[in-house]
Amino acid sequence: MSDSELPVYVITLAEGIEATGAVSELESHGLQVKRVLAALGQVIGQGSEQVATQLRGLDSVQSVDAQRTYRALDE
Amino acid sequence: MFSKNSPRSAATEVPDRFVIIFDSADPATPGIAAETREQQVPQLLTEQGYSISEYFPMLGIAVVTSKADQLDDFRQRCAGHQLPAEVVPELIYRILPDALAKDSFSDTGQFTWGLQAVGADLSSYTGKGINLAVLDTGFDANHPDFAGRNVTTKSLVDGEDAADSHGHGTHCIGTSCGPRTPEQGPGYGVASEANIFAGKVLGADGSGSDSNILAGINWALENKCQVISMSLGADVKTVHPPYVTAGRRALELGSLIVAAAGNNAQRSAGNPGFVGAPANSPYIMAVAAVDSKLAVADFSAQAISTEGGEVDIAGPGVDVYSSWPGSQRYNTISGTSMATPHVAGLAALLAESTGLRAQELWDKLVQEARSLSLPTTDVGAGLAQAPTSAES
Repeated sequence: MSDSELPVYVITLAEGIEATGAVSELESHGLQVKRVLAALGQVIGQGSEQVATQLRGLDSVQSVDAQRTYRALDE
Repeated sequence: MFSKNSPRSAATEVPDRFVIIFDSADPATPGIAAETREQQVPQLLTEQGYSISEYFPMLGIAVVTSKADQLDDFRQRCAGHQLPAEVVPELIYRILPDALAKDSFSDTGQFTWGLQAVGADLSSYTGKGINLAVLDTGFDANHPDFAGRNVTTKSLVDGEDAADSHGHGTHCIGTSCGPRTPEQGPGYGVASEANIFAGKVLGADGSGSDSNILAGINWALENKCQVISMSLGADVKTVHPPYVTAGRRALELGSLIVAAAGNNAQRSAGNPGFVGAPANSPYIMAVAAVDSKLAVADFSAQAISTEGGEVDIAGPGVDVYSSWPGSQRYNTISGTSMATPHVAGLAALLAESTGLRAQELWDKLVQEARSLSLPTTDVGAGLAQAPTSAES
């Protein structure tokens, strides 16, 4: 699987964890960080399912959710 | 629903008619003795020549016909008996206009039906000073109806600029922030002087991912947008955790997110649908759509029983006229997508008129909604309404 085909995850950090400061820890577990959303305390990144499993075990992480797709809601 | 102070329906005094309240003026010792109310008060009223046919001894309140000078004399007599009596004019109360409001609308040369239905056509508030973000397919910033407006654009979609090659975003921005008095055609924008933040989170094909949408919310929060409008969704019943956090953090930072409830119903075929993501986050306001007769739209999704699966409020969402990119300039389309920017614009008006933000703004929107004779599972608190000039 090429890097571009890896699943994208939304990592929601635990309360009080600052997003920018958490990046290095997430990267050390194999996450390829795409976006850091400081106001929301979330990080968007790509990685294998194994990486996602590792991240879910971190105290600094509240949830790891596979990215979904949405669409405009006109008829 | 009655009011004596409504800015839309002031109460009027009845000539020579007064209400006398026999009660202690001292809040520490309220009320007067039952014996006084039942015996002494009617005796004093009768001695003064007043009828006691409208004296209510359990309340200690009388309504009398009298000249003002006669009342002064009566008050002095009461004071001589150590009987506290407050006198106020009798008022005529009227049913508020909401209860008599129209239940059918149509586009006119002056305003779209939607602006009329939510009362934006009569509101003196315009969203001035409020930052309103619309996260959608982008915006045609060259549209002539928006010349001179304060517009900030940003693309969160990889490989695409902030322009709107789809149309949906420009339409939603038109409804939420467009003009009320354009050079041609009817007024169609609710918050016509709000600062526009057009975040492109859906691509030219009308779809986008969490990565784009959450980045758009983050961008709107960084820009201190008090209202964020999202006319997008996915037909999934499960709550997506990132939007629980995003909605909650937005409220903590003073911002209200409103989102389309979803178009997955087909009510005419017996399918009421369900509120999808991200509108099913408990911290995001879910918006249903009604038509110009204030009936729930055939496609508008119904509440589900999970927390956050409620429909919170409704807006005009069928045959909505608004701006469109390029030479076409205008288009009329339908969807909970179209109801959502109506509500977002109204949130901006209320934010301007009351100074309320976040959860308090949410509560005010719900409180001020026009009740509809429809299930709350379909329309929540009812049709969102604009503040009048005297809103406080």
